[in-house]
Amino acid sequence: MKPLITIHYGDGRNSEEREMTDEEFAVWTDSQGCVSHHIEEIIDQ
Amino acid sequence: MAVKTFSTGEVLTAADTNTYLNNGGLVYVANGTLANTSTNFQSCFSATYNNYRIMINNISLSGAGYIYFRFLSGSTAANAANYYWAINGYTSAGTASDDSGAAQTLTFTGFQGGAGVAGLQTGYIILDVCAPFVAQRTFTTCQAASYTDRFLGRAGMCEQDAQTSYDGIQFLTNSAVTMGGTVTIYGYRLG
Repeated sequence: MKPLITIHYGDGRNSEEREMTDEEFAVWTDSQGCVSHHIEEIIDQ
Repeated sequence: MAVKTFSTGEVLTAADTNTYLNNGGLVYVANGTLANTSTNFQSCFSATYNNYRIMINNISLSGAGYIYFRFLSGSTAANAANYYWAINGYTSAGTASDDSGAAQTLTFTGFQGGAGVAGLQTGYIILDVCAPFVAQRTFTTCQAASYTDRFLGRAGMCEQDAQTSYDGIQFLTNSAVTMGGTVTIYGYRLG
């Protein structure tokens, strides 16, 4: 199961919570590499 | 300078009220709660306002974590390596906690929190986002106050270097850490 994502809208649509799409999951997974690298750097300070 | 100054006993007319409504500072645009590892705010930036203030109150994290953001076009996150940040930080223990990043696929709010103490918030974030809907560089100033094993304050800037129009923003944490909090987005009234 992919992670959940919460979506709020500024145009009056109701908020929703759903599983990430394949595309969203790929982008999220890719971002975690950047996040992990950042955390290593900030902890090493 | 005040839009208008009233004297004691003066009647507040519809015209005066409308003047204030039309010339107020921050105007509510959207709100919602942070949840999961990613939360999107879509269709919240438009041509109605140039600049936006985003307040994130009462933040909680499921574990030691960091809060990042990136801009959205519709539901699509801008995730090319176009984000830069430079943020000063200092802790209540008297130590520096500066941070920077260049050519990253997301940007840092400056917020770094621990799982915290049950019933107590971990901190808050303020972002001033300059003209995200305009197809230009998007600059943001950020302020974050948080608690890890000590109190931590950070303030600085973030920049999205693509000259693209964005109509939304996505907040995310490091993997397996879920986030809570209340996000309110305001627009700076134009005139």
